[in-house]
Amino acid sequence: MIHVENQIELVNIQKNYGPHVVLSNCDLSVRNGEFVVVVGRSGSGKSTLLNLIGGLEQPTDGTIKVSGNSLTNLNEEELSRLRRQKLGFVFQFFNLIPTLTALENIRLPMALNRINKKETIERALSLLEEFGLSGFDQRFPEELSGGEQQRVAIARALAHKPDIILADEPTGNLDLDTANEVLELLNRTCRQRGTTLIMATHSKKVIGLADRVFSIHGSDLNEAIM
Amino acid sequence: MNRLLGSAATRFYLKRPWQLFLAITGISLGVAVYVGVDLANDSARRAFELSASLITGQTTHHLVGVGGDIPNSLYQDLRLKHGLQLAAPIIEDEIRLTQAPSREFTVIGIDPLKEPSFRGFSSFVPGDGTTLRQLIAEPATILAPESLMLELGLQVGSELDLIFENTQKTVQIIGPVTEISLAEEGATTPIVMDIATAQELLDRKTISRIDLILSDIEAEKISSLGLSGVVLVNANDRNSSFDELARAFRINLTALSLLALLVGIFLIYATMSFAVIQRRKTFGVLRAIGVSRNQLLMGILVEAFLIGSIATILGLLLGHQLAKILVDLVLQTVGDFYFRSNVAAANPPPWLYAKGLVLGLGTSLLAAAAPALDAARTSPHAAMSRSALERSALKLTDRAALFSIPIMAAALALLGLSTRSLFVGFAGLFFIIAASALLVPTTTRIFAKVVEPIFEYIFGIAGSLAARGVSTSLSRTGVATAALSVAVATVIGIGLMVNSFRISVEEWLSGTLTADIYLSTEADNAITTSQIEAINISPGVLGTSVTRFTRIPTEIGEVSLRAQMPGPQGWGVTVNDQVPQAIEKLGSNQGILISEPLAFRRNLTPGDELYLPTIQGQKPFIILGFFRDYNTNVGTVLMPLEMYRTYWQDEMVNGVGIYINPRADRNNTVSGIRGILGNNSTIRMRSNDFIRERSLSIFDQTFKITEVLRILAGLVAFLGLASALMSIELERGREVAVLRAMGIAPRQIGILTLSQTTLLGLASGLFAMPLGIIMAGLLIFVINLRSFGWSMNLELSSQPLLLGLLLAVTASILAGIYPAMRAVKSGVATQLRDE
Amino acid sequence: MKNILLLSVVILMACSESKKTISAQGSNATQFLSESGTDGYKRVITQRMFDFPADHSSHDNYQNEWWYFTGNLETTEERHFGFELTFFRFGLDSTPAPRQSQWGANQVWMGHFAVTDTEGEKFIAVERFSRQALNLAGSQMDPFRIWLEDWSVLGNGQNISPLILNASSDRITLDLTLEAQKPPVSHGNGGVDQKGPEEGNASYYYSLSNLNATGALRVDDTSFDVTGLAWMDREWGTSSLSPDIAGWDWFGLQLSDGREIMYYRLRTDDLQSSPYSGGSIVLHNGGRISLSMNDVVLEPLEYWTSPETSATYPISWKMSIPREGIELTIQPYLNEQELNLTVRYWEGAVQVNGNQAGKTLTGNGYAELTGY
Repeated sequence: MIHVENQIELVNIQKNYGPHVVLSNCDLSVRNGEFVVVVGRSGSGKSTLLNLIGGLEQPTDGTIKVSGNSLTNLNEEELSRLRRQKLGFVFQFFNLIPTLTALENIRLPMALNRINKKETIERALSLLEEFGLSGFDQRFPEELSGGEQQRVAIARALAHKPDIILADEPTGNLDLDTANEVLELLNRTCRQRGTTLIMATHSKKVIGLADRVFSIHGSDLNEAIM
Repeated sequence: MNRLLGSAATRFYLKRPWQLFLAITGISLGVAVYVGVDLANDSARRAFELSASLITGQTTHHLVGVGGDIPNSLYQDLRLKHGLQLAAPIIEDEIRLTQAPSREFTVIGIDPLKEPSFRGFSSFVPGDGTTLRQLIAEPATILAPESLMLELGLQVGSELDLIFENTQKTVQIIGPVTEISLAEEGATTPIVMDIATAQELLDRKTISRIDLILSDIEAEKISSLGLSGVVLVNANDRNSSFDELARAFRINLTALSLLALLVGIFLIYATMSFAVIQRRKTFGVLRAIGVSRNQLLMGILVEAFLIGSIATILGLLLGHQLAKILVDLVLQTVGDFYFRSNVAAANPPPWLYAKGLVLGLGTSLLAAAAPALDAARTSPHAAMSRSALERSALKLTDRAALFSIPIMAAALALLGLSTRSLFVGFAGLFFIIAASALLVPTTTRIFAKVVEPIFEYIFGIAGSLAARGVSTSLSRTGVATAALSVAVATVIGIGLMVNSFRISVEEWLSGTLTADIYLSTEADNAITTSQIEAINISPGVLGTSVTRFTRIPTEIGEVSLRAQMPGPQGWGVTVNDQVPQAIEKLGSNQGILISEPLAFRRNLTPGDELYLPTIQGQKPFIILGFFRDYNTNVGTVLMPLEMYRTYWQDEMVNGVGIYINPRADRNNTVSGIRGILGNNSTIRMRSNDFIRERSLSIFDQTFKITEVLRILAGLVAFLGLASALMSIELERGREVAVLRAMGIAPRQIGILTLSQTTLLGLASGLFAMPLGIIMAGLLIFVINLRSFGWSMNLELSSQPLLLGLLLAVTASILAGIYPAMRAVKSGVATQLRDE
Repeated sequence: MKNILLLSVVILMACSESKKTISAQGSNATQFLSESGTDGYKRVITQRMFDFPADHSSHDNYQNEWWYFTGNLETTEERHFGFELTFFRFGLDSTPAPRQSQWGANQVWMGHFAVTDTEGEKFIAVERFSRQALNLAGSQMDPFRIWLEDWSVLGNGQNISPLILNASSDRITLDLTLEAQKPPVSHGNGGVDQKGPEEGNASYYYSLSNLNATGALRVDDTSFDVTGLAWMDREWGTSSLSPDIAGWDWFGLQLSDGREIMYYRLRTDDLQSSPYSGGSIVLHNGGRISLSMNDVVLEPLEYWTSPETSATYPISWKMSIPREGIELTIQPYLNEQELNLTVRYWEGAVQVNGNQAGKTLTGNGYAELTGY
């Protein structure tokens, strides 16, 4: 039997901001291709958890393994490479580069991975098409609606074929209909590609789509029993 | 202003203290560089003027003799027959003191009773009447400058030994020449004595000149009197002929302060407009929640006013300090070469600071008003949109580039005018620079586009992003880049001009100094004809050129007359090659040559006749051609010695050039010549090399200050620009954070930031090169020509060009280092969370 | 009187520098003219029988000397003018060093020239200085002439009269011929006019108090033919000033009945009259009645403050000579007759009205007010 290693492995994580304890004794294992949702109130530590997984922040204590790499042992260069190759981010505020067009925004992570230009354009265009944004390639972020922007952001997060997508409140800034569309899109595209999706949200709506749901309460992370 | 709006603005800066710091730094430096250079310029100007006016005072005209001095009787006639009131007799000469033998001092003999209207002389003379009584009635009494008395440890009552033409005479100091009012203004003071005393000490029966204060009508009346042996000269002409190199120096300073003004404007504009632009989004939100346009505009202007005020005051203080350093340097140069004693620092007039204040505050308000108006005018949504901003910035740069075309055309039209006006020349220069500055954003964008693939190839996506960032952040970088370009072009332009000038002077010296050894004397009849004949046949001597130098007053002002018998290597002039055979015609006594400055100033062309006052009255001389002359006088007339002797009946010689056979033993030849001359200390013998080196060292010294100023202005502009670029880079924290999240390594972020600023620097630097060359060309072919009539070639030496580029790139790299370091270290998570 | 005028300058400068009583220009020039170098010069001690015409010319063994002309003139249309033309000589050194230079000088001359245009309400005053060298200024006896560049007084006749006065400046010109109607009158005690208690603090003083004047004058662009009555004062001496004198008020009045009154009051620092004040009444026949301090009562009636210098002068006076029964009111033709020159003083044309024992007296004259 093949031993399937967990793609993400958080053991005994502690995260403090000064005296303020955000997370303590957290354990989390996520397998390849899983859709995991983390729920909790605003400011409960969801973003922190995602940042820890993305290597954007370091835990106060405990170990984090992502795709077999122990994050605490990696330096900034290695963390960057990990993010560049294995991870994709989707943010609440989209965070597209305002000075780049939709196409360029999508091309950016591929370019970072030194994929040749022609291929980046082809892949970006096909993503735009897949996401229903054909013809929007030369638009700048501010010429797009919120939903459109977030779709570009998802396309950007998926463009370099990461193993994991970390989505932090991706629908927090969208109206209900659009939010549903975006969720549906994320869910579908990740599942099609077998990409692991970890989403922080306080919306209970998502729960139905997820494989597993965790909730943060106080500083504890617990798997919700469905 | 609404209280809350005020708090919003205040907190914006409290949260970003470095933004406030950089805004204030940028504006302060802009004001400082302008005020500093302007103050230095003003000091130099007044030091020159005062030193000249000390000698000439309120004088409007001088009566000077055709052949040198004028007789006492002429003054007598003016007063008794012509009833001229405002006339003062003057004797002026240079003497040495046994107590300080290495220096020359100006002595001025006056009639104290006639001085009050002229030089405010009464303020020279100390309080009690006895001094003035003694000065007139007692022989060998003088007033000595206070500084001189201090230096030599003399008191009132001390004796002083004057050396004049090898004779020593003892005089008594009966009082100080009070320098209080003068020293403040940075001038030097002569040794003063009564005119009778001056005649006795300087062993003469004549006076040097008569100073007059005349209206134009009176001046015409005097001219029409037909006084023989004298010419009425405008005092301003004489003042300016006083020292032309001094003017060269001042013109350069003026050009510099003009450029400092431009750099200052750009710098302040860049800084202040950025401080506003970066909050466009906030303004959009404010508009959206119902803040009226006027409220918003008012709020921004109040903020700009507050920041502008603080920064401007700091800038004035800084500029004052900067000026102190510069003024010291300026006055040192002035004192070393133009006047024989020390020149003190001047108290600058307050309106210079006021100009700095207007520049600082005015530009700050204007810089804030433009984007504020824009933000207030556009719809709240559009105001929030960055891409809209960039698109309008893009449009603006295109419009600016388009707008630069008519300005450039106007500049060319101005320069093309067949006027000799220096003002028009400067205006043309100013417009060219302004037009070029408007082109900078567009050229920068094009440049960025061109180098993007190269950058991408070298630095990967970071490089590409950097190149793209340049053109997509023009709203923030455009003006800063333009400022950098202008500053660098200035550094290049003035450097090239000075270099070209120096090369031309070197060539001119080579063409002029053809003999190996020069004898010169100021004493009458020190060199005799028989001595010259003896030198000619002395062993090792190939031949001699014999020259009589004198100054003659003409109706177009005083000119130098160089009457020459050419030596074996010709006349020692570089003739302007427009006129063929000028030299041959000169050799056959057909006419005269005049120096370029004289030709230019008096608008003379070959074939014209120049009237000169000979002893037979005014006689016309045909102008055969021009020769180059960078000497420090208004103009020189060159004529054959034979011709001079015929018309002036003057056999004196005061210059001999000796040509030595290169194969002869130089030392033997020289000692042979010394033997012929005997032990006459009034004859100076100097080698070709000595004169050349001395001339060049004076030149270098004169422009040293320009050099220092240029570098200093460059440095300050550079610091200011670095701060402007820095604040722009620092504002991109969030963008950097996103890139970091996407996996761009910190090192790459650093490269991105650095390469972006470097690219801007490179673009400005490269653009500044042709602009600098154009500027140098204008300085040489327009400004210098119009100021002095000097023609010279534009030499494209690489050193100033490379220095300029280096300056631009260094400025931009330094500007990138801190933001790059910050970007590397900053917490990504924090930046992402912020909204 | 001018001697004291100059001497007082020194005092004024010393005690009221901030008041700017002296214009800045050339202030030193006047200082030396008065203050120093009296050593070796002769002093006025003994009485003198004036010897004319010789005494009209200069006396270089005394340090200071002046010729002083004032007068009231009018055109045929009775347009009134006043004039003042003065020449001052100052010796610099009583034992001058020999000089090689033609510029070498031991005498310095100062001239004041002023015209009052009553109708035009103009008062124009100028001054000049020159050394006595190169023929630029000087005095001579045969014929009598004193000159300061192109200002001059030339005496043609046997006893200098008629005198020809020529002076010109930018705005004013004067060409007058003066004919003496009376012989010279000596003031003081046998020509010695004592100015203080110190020996030698005195001058020789005589006047030609009644000179018929005819000629022309120009004010700006207009010339006028004029006639009138002029006065010449002559003084020389070598004096230093009593330290307590603040200034004086001098009057030279020419009455319609053919008499003239000269009176000066020396004012002390505490505004008292010095006992050395004095004067003369010149009779029709040239005879003289001496006036002492106790003979004359002067009372200011009206004051005027100069807008230019802010100095306040008493410009109208009541003069009483009780011994003679004379009561006079003295009023200026123009208030503004202040000479703001190297030395600042008020000197102007005045008109006189009054009576003597019920008989009406009128006349013209000049008043000189200094130390204000």
